[in-house]
Parts: sequence; C-alpha cells; structure tokens
Amino acid sequence: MIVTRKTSSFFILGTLSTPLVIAMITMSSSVRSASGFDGLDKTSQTFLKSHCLRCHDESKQKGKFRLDTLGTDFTNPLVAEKWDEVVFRINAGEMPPEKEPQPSALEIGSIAETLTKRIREGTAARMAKRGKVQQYRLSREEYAHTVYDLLGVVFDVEAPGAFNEDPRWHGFERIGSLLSTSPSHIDRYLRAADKVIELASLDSEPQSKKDRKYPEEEGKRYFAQLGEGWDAINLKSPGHYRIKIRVSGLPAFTGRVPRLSLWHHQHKKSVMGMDISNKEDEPKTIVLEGLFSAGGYKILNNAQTKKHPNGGVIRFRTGTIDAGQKLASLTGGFRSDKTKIVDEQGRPVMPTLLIDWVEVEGPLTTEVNRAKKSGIFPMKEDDQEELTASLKQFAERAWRRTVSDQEMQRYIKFIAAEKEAGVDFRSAYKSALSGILVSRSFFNLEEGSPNENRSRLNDFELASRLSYFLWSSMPDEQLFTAARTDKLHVPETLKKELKRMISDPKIDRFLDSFPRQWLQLHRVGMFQPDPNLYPEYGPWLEKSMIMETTNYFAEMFRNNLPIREAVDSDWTMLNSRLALHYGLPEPKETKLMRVSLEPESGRGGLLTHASILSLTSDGTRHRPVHRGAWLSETILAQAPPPPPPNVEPLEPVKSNEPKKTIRSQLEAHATQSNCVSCHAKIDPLGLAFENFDAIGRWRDKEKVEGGTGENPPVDASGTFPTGQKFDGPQEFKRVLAEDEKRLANAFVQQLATYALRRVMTVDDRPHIEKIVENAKGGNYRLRSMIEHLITSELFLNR
Amino acid sequence: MKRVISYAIAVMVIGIILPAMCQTAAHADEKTGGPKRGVFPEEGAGIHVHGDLVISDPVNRRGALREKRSSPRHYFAMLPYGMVWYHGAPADILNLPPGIHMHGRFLLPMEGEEETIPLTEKLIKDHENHRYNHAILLEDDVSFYSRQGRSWKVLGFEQGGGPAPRLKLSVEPVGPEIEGGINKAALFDIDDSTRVWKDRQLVNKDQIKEGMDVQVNLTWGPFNSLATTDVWLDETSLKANREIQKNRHLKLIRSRFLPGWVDEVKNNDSGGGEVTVTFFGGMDSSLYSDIRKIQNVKICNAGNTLRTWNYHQEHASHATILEKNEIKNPPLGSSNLQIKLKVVRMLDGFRPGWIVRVKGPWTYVLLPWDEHINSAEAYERSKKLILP
Repeated sequence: MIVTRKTSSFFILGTLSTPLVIAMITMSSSVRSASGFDGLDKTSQTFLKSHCLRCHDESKQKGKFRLDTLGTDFTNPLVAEKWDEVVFRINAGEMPPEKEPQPSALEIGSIAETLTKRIREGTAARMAKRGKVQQYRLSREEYAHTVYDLLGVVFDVEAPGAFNEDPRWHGFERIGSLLSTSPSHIDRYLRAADKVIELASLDSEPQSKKDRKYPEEEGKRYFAQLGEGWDAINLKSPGHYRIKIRVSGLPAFTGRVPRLSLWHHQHKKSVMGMDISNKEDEPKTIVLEGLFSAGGYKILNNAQTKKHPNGGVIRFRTGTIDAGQKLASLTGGFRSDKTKIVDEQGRPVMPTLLIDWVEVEGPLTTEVNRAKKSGIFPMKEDDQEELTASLKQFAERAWRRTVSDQEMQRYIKFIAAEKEAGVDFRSAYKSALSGILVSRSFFNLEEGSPNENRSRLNDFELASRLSYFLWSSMPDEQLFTAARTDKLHVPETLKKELKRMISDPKIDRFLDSFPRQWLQLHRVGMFQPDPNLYPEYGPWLEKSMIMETTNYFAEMFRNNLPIREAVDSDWTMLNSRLALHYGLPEPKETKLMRVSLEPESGRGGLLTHASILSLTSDGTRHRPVHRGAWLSETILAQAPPPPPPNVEPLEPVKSNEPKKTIRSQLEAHATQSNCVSCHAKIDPLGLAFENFDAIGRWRDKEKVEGGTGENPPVDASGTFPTGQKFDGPQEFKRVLAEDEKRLANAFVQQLATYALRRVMTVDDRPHIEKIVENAKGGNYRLRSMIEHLITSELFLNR
Repeated sequence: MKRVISYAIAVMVIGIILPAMCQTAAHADEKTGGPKRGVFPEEGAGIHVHGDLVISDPVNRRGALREKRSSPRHYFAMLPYGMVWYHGAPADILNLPPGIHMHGRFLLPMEGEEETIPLTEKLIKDHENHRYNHAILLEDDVSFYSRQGRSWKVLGFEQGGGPAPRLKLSVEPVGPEIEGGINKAALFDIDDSTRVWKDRQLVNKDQIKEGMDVQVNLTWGPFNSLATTDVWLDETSLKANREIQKNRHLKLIRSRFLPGWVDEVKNNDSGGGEVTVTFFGGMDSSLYSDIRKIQNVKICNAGNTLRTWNYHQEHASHATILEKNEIKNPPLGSSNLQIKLKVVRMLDGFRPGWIVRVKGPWTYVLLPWDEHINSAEAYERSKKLILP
C-alpha cells in the first residue's frame, strides 16, 4: 500500500523493492504542491485541471493514477514516462471518458503538443547530459577513416564479423549517448587493432602487382545486360588499387545509359562506378582508383538484380563474343530463349556494357601513406629512450592529445614482460601498439578532465571536434600543432583552419556523410517499391536519387549558397538515369552534373528530389502525412507529436466505388477530434507535394489501384499553419524559402547535432540563435553558417 | 449416315472457311510469293495435294506424301499455324499412322523458310507443284470428306480378278463435288486388315450392307488402287473415334502449350514489357476457353516448327494477361483470341511474327528431351528437313 503525504511529498512504502523505493524517492523530490502544474503554461494547466483532476486527484484516483502530485521536471525519466502515459490516453481518445465534458479538437491538439514537446526536451537534456569527462565513441565510418589517416591502413569495418552498424537518432549515426561500448565492442576493437597494426608493419607490406584479365582470351568481349556483370576482380588484401577497364557502354533504346560499378560480393554493395556511353567500335579505358576492401568484385552493369516474383532472381544476359562482333547481330538462333539483347531496330533493349579487359594494379603504397607508418617502430630494440619516444609519439597521434611518460609505462612494462617470456621484440612491440588502439582514448572522443569541472574544450579536444566534424577523422599535423601552441581556439586561427580543411579532399567525407544523416537518406529504398507498380525502379535509380541529394548539398557548400536554395532553386544535380526519371533532357555529360531547370520542370530544391519524395513512401503509395512529418523534423527541426495509437489504416478503394485520391481519403479519415489539430499542421507540408508519386515522378493525376472511373486529378494546394495559402509545390517552396531565418535556425540545429555529437537542448537555443543572427549578414550562406558555428560558444564549450 | 455427315460439319470449324479457299487458283501465289511472317495467308492460297504419308517427322512437324506408287515423295513442312485433322478431330503429325492417305493444302514456303524443304532443279522441272511444300491444312479422308458434307453409299462387294485378286467395296459419292476428291463411283480394297466400326465396337466386314452411308479412311493398294484402313458404319462409331482423337490432342497441347505468334511488342528498358499474341486456330475450343478464364500464364518462345527450347525458369516468362480481345471472322490459321500480356522477362524470341507458346491452367509435365531445341546442333538440324 502506498500513502502519499501531500505536504511533504513523502511516500510511506509498504513492501516495495529497494531500487524502486530509491527511484520513487528520487521522483518525489520533484513532486510539488498539488494541482499546480507550475512548470506548464496556463492553457495546459487549465486543461488538466478541468478535464483530468476530477478523477485523478487527492480524493479520487481512478485507475490508481494520481495527476495532481505529478511533477513537471521532464528530465526525470519516471516523471516523463507518466506524462507520456497522459499524452497517450488523451491522444487515443480514452481520456477524458465519454460521459465527461469533452474538450475541443484544438484543446486536445494543444495539450498533446505541449506535453510532447516538454517530454522531448527532457529526453534531449538527458541525452546531452555531460559528466566531468564525456566520451563519444567513434562511429565505424569514423574508425575506418581514423586508422587510414593514422597509419595509411585500409581497415574494412563492414567486413563480416568486423563492426556492427551504428544506431541512429533521427538519422544521425554519431550521437554519443547512443554509441555505448559493450564487451562485444571491446572484443571487436581488439581484433581490429591487431589487424590494423599487422597491416601497418612495413615488413608485411604486400608486393604491388599488375594483372590484366580478358574474357576467355584476348580479342574476346564480355557483354552484360542490366544487373549483370563479370566476376573479374579478386583482391587478396585491402588497400589502394588502380583498376583500369576497357569498356563500351551502349545506351538502351530509351537513351538510358549503363552504369559501370564495382560490386563487392561480401559487402553486397557497389563501391565505385561511373556512367559509360560510347560506341562499341570505340571502346575507352576508364580508371577507378582508391581504397578497396579485400574480396571479390564484379564489374557490374547497374546494381544487383531485383527479385523475381516467384522468389528467384531474374537473370538477364551475359556472354562472350568476338570483340569485332556487333551487338545487333545477337538476335534469334539457338539463344532465342534468352533475354532479348537488341530490339526490332537493332538497338539495345537495356543499357549494355561491353568489357574487353580489366587490369588491376596494387596494392599501391604512396609516399604519404608510407610516411604515416614511419617512426612507429624504434630503430634499435635495446634503446629504452627511443622505445619510449616512439611509443609516445604514436600514442599522442592515436589518442589525439598529449600523453605523459607515466601513461606509457604500462606499455613499456608489457613489452619487457613479453620479451622475458620469450616473445621476440617486434611481436611484443606490435602488441603494445595494438594496446594503444584498444585504449578508450583511441576509439572515443574524450572531452573534459576527471579532476575539474570544465565547460571549455581544450585545444586538443577542439582539434578533434573540428576534424571529426569536417573530416570524420583525426586531426592532421597542422591542427595538432595549432593545439600544441594553444592557439586553435582563437577565432582567426579557427577560420584559417576551416578554410584549409575545406580545401582538403577529406572534406568530401562531410559532404557525403552530413546530408545523408541530416536528411535521413538511409530511408531511401527501405521499403522497396512494388515492382508491379513501379517496374522502372531499380538499384541504380535508387543510388542516383541519393547521389542527387548529397551532390546537391556539396554543390551548395562549394559555392557557399544561401540556405534558401535548399528548398527552392532553379537547378539540380542530374545524371542520365534521373533525367529519364524526371522526364528532363539528358545532361551533356555522362556523369552527375549541375543542370539548370525551367520553372515548368516542377523541380528545384531538396524537397522535390526523388530521394526525399520516396523515402517517406511505403513501397506502394506516397504518404503525404509522412512527407509532412519528415519536412517538419528535418527542414524545420520540429518533430511533430507521435500519432495516436490504433489509427485505422486507409482502406484500398473498393472495386465498385469511384477512384479517389489519398488526399481525399485522408480528409475523410482525419475527422476524429483528436487527429484534426495535429494533421492541420503536418498535412499541408506533405500535401504540397501531391504532384509527385511514391518514387518522385511528376503527375497531374493520381493513379489509383481499384475503383471505377478515371484516375482523379491531383490537388496540391493548401494553407500554411500561418494562414498563408499555396497552390502547389512551386508556391509552397517559394513561401517556405522566404522564411530564411527559420530555415537557418533549423539547419544550424542539425549541423550542431552532427558536430557536437549530441542532441540540442533548450539550453543551446540562445547559442543557436546567436549563430543564426551572425549569419544573417551573409544571407545565411552554408559555409558562413559553418564558420559561425565553429567559432561560437556552443562549439568551443563542452 | 446423313446424321454423321451433318455432325461432322458442325464440329469442324474450318469447314466454314475452306470451301471458298479451295476454289481459288494456285497461280495467285506466284505473284505474292509464300506467306509473310506475322500475316495469315489470303483466302484461297495454295494447292490441293494428296497422297500416303510415307515420311513423318513429328518433332519438327514435317513429312512427305506419295501420291502414286511411282510418284516422288512430296516433302512438306507444316506452317506454324498449319492444322492437322485426324478422325474428324484436331491432331498433329504425331497422331498420324504411317501410310495413311492424306489431303493437304500446300502453300509456297513461308518467308525465311525457303530452304527448309530441299528441292532439286530436276524435281521442280518435272513436278512443279513440289514448290508448294508448306502445309496450312492436312487431313485424313474421313476428315476431308465429312468436313465438306460428303459420304459414301455402299453399292456392294465385288471380287476383283487379275494377278492379285482382291475383294472390293463398291461405293458411290453422296454429297457435293469436291476439289481434289473422288467425285465418281469407286472400288476400294477391303479385307480382314480393314477396321470396321459400328457403335463403339469393331465388327466383321459382313456388317457392311448395301445402301449404307459410310465414311472411310484409305491407304495405298496394289496396282494404284486404294485400300480401306477403316470403315465407319454409323455416327456413334465416328464420334467415339473423334472423341479419342480430341483427347489425344488436348493432352498434347496442354503439355506443349497453346501456340500463337507475336503481333506487337513493347520493350521495357529495365527488362520485361508487353507482348500481344494471336493464338493459332484449329485447336479444340476448350483450350482457348481455359486461357480466357485466367490472368496469369507462362509464355515461352518456339521455332516455326512449334518446338520450344524448354519451359523451365529462364526459358519461359511469367506473364499477366492485360487484355483479351475477340477477333471477328479470323482468317484460316488464326483463332478468334488475341491476348496482351505483361511479361516479366522479355525473351529474344518475343518479336513480331515470331512464334510463342502460352501455358494455360494445365499440369506441368516434363517432355522428352529431344522434343526441345536443346543444343546449337539441334537448332541447326531443326532448320532443314533431314531426308531419310
């Protein structure tokens, strides 16, 4: 039995367990005087008092639930959980009960929104909470970049048994509170460290080779239709390789160009590639150079084939022909039962690749990478001083800070003990180096000091924050030097370093990683579009969609464009596949490139990218509400409240009823009082894009499965929550783009979340507003906002 | 026996079309040449040829007829839409016994098939009609005569004389005069090798009575005579044989699929597409009805011989029927059913004028390996008649 003593907020506890007792006592500290709801706004207080307390106060606790003593410290998880239950009941329409006076839809919407916001603020505060020393584990992508920049070693973090995928929070893969470290992580770090050190040892540097491979023999040519390829490459060790391929790419009769990519069998993904378009009698040699994981690669046309409806995999056509044989001759004959290669006019039915040979050279060791490894091994085994110096030098780079001699002692002792046990010096030394890489100072970003309450980052911490923000990796020597001289935090130095870092090729890591995480591009293709409804959807289209968006962001960044162009512009980044998808003219070059758009194209800005329009779809149809929720969350940084439970899904249109749009079904659906208020805010943001189907194609009529009559016309008009009207996506974008300050504020929040590796809280708002204010003079240009961010208090503080 | 005749007319769809065709002179073909891919021949094309089936290649649907003891063999190939009738029911070369006397409607070779039946200059010089060697129709006597409303009235038996004395069945034609047929009283050899059918039984030849209306199937006899292989005395016996043949035909087509050709193709640049198919005629109507009832089929390509490559996995495509169109007054060779399909895989053989076979709701069976075009060599061999 629990009795609550109102005045002291003290629980007298019966037979409850100790942890629960402690938890409840903790909670009781936040319980305040009855029915005041002090921390809430007046409207919410009035709602709760008039609709809830009648049955949930001191005198009556229906369902054994008492509300009047519930605190408003939302950072307390137990309190937040109870408020979450309150929102759930109100949202579900369970409370207030039917016999009680009912609040209006507006009132329900308001209370649900207020409480949800407060619960989320509490969650954010908990997630952003920092101790004296805060550790942010590296994501696996960052781990790979770090060992490469540290030692010039390619470590395959995605190899089977290597590292698991990192958890995400609203698309972000680097939120410290989510990246916990478990015993299994340590086990994997141990194995990874051994491997990395082994690869870094100059004595085991693999010999570089150059091999050329022909299909069957010289003079033969391999042809591959869509999704098919040639298993021509097998790399025994990871590293830097140069791969040359003699190839022709014949576009399909529709103009669709083949995409050559290298498909990694073990990782089940394409790692590198390019569009190819040249005549079969004019083959060209392309060069793909970069870092490759070990394993088997297929020179693939496009990407993996889609699944056959009966569960098998549709195989298109591959084979070997004479290099001089025209593709158009491949009709009829004994192979008539295979997939068609050329149409009735002799044009390729599908984009087709013709490969004459492939040449693999590597692993290549560049002087830059060799330099990274130099000095990690001492020249003399018995020189204790040099041994200590070598180890210390390595540890300082690996741990990205100064290291004391005392910290090195355990490693020195370890080497000595190993030698005494009969292990040779080199092996013992390598084990010590591995030990440095399994130290938490290596796989974590550490901020703070154990012996002081410090709010400011020191310069080494700042160097790491900066380099992991922009390079997803450790600082380079110049950043270390600035940190050592304690000058990095000076705004001028930071600006200078930013400029230098942006001009480094490693900035591409940011330009790819940030937009993927910010815009939640991992959701593209999560629900594969139904091949019966969208037969043209395929892996290359999907990849092209993502490339459009990441390259669009990169283009904005490189040209330092204002944030308004994120939502409205007269250009985009296209390759031939996307041009075909959008019904736009093919770009002049085969690569993805910037193209100007006419107003009637219906495109321009991230919001009309096929990636964005499809990531909210469910594989069969577009989801306007999800589109609205995504826009609110990512572009406006305002996550809407969760939907009420047990919402009935939309029924397919019955065969004997007239066809109707999803929009009209939604309008009929969202008539319940507890739905109306939220939908009024979210839906217009999604309905503005009704002109785009589930895979982002333009349409004037909505194709409706089932039902009778003509497909209904699309209605993309609506009203902003401010009351401003729009008549379609173009006007919607224009109006939204005018609110630059709001867009900039949201963008800085997302940028800061990525950079600081934590969720933004109420406490961060003034800082963010200041950054936005500072960026106003530069029209909220991307790079200017980044500059204002890294020189802000928010960035310089822990 | 008049009822036998009228029933036969009713069940034979081609009987409505063919009489007009037979009246047209063959020389019309000389101007237009052989049939074109994807186009059914004009009404009346071709010439009448008859003779005993002395060579038979059921797998490639080819063979040879020999008109007289001393005549050269008239080699032929069935056109893809060429129809075979046996015992008054749809059939294939496979169902025909060697030696059976057949009537054919032969056309010049189809476009691209000019080399299928090898001809020598001497043969053409001596027997110009051998240039007509692609059959649109092939039928035994009972099918040929009954389709055109003809039967035989028994006049009695006659004992022949000479070096090989044989018993003769004396008959006279009942019904209209027929191009290529026997239009006067005739004597057919009959002996104990002749099957005489009454009701659903075989009976002795003494059951044949003067004045009866009968149907006969014939074969070669000594001294350029014609010998009876079968005599049908009543409608019941004819119907029983027809039913058996119909069921053999159904079994054959259900396991080898319904043939047709491609009218139109819409390729998709990511695979698959749409294929419009018109089915060939001359099959039992229930086969078309089966297709009309379903939405999902499998489709594979076939050669002009109707041989398929295989039906397994990559050799056939799953398909969904998008449209079913009825063809009014279809030409000879065509059925009245056209379908538009959405195919999962667009095979090389799916091209306008090329042959396909479509699987209806029938049990899937594995066929003897050598019926399929299973190798490049088999494909080459299938392109030409191999002379024995």
